[in-house]
Amino acid sequence: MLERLFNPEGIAVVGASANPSKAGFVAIRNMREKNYPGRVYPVNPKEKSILDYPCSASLREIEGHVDLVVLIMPSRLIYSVMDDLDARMEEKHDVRFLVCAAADYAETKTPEGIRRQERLMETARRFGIRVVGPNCIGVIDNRSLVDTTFVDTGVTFSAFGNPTGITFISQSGALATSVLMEGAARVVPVLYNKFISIGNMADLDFADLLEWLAEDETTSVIGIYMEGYKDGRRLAEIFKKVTRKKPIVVLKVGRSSLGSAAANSHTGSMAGSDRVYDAMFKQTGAIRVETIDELIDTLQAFDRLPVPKGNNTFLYTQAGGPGIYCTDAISSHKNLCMPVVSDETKERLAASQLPMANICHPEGYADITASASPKNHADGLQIVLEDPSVDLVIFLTVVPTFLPQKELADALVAVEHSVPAGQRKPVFYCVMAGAYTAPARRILENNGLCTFNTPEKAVLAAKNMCRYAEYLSRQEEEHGKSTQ
Amino acid sequence: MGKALNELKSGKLLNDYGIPVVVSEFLTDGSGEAIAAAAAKTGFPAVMKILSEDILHKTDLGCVKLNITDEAEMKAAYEEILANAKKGAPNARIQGVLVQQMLPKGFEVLLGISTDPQFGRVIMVGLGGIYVELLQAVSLRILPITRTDALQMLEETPLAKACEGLRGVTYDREEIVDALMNLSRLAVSHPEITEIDINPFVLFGDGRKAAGVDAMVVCREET
Repeated sequence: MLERLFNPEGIAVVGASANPSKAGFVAIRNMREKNYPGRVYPVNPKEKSILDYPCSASLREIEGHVDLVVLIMPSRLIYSVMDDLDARMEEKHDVRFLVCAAADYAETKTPEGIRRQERLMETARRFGIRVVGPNCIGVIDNRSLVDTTFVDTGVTFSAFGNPTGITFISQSGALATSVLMEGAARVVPVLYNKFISIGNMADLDFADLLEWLAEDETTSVIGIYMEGYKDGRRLAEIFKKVTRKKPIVVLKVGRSSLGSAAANSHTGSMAGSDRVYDAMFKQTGAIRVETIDELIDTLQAFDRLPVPKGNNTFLYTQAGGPGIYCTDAISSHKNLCMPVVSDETKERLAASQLPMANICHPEGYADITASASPKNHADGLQIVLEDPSVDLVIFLTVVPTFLPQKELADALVAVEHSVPAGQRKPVFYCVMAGAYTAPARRILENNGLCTFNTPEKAVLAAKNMCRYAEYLSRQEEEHGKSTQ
Repeated sequence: MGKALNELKSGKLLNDYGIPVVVSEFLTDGSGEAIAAAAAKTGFPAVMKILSEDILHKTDLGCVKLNITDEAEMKAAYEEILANAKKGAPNARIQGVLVQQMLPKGFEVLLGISTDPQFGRVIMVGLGGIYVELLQAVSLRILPITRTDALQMLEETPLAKACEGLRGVTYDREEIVDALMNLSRLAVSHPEITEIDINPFVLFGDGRKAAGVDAMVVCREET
């Protein structure tokens, strides 16, 4: 149903501009930079062409097939633009989706704003066109190379890695932009699979998108920024359906009563009691996160790592202080525990390390010390992963100047690649020491592993994955009971 | 706001669904026969309190009498409660006086149902008695709930720990879990119920069965 929204055959941009400081230019530029293979039709009566895409004076005049119309012009022009679209639809019947990026519609709660949104929806309903927005930044699909947003991440497209399985839905355009930019600023810039800013949800909303994304094969995990949704029960039902197939990670705002009041006046959605949302997330297996960092970390972990079988967390560190710091972080989460590994594992681990290494004091913890070589790092990790009582590993290293980064990263990648598919356990690599360790992190990330720059971030992502694992096994248990 | 069932009806409905609530009797006259009949059902010691929707802070007005040990005391308390109510709240509508079996001190839990504008009815559990407002140690879930939900709810409040042992006394968490499951079942079969408040639901660490003391059920007003 939403196939053509993410993979349209032709895209018209109303409000396209030749002025590089205008949103109507950046949207065109993004498509040019990504080399979107379909046709792009800037609508601008004054320009001949923008970035070599020939301009049309109106929607009606575009000769080729248009699946998607993007509206970036000032909202007061909506009446004439919709008249134009009506005329086109009567002749060509081609447009299936509208992305209305501009603001100043019903979210303002003014009679004029409401009237504009009503005019937009009138045409949409009449011709069965589905609408994203208004008051949003639009849609990205990094596989079909569609980008209707006017976001400049400051990172060239070629610097991003391969498209991930992360799809993100945001109720706020500006927050969506930050998530794009934060992702772009990571050691290996995150290329989201699909990215949808839904704004006022005049038509397409969380429920429609989630239902479709549950079946979308390129989406491995769904991230959501949410302020509120009118039909809580329906949302809960859909969450429950989706989390059976793939995880949902939610950044929900409005925890404070002031925050909740701010949400009410923002996208015009009524925010219910945050505590009930919290309960709903727990009951439907959605993972709630607190910060943008935790959101991106958790999405990346779900996208790259297998879901752990249990919550037994082995902390494998090369540095004492950070190891203790990380132990505190693990202990602060009730759902993580540090396991007792077998005597055989302890002996093998000790034999693989320098004599000064601390093996399992406390249980579930090893400090291989700063003198450890890349081989010490890798051999020990392999032994820990082989112990059946270990479900996941948090790996901490600070990479001293005398430890060769490339050799270390290659050795770790080799360990991971030696594990047969299906037997993989998640390892959360915390490679500390800021910019200095970027080369090691890049090697790990480019090989599909997950890295973090501080222990607490690694622990949060691990905790969130364990939460999801618990939910799934609990569902299985309850399902088993009800079918007996 | 809906229409509140009085304590008698509330208690009966809850008992019907397996949620234990102490037996209440209702007095509208202080005659010897009425007193004797009520006392025969509740036993001694007993508690007496005013039954009036208009009086919220019954204790403050002297409208609650505790530890009544015989029929003579019961008769005197009846007169006194009514007199105090008339003095303290002259405009209140008074239905009568409630007589309840007086339970010994135990561990007080809050159980309830309320209605959220977006998610509909939710169920809650937490520390009961006077700590409800102070600590806000309450966990909630959307209806209906599963047993695992109920267990998680206890874990989210101090209740799970308290059941394991509080000053040498342990409490049976299953009594709370059962009450929650029954409350969920009750609410599902009665969609007209918008609110239930059982505070306190008292647990005893000595083998005696838990019971709700104050219970109120509110239904949607028919339109």
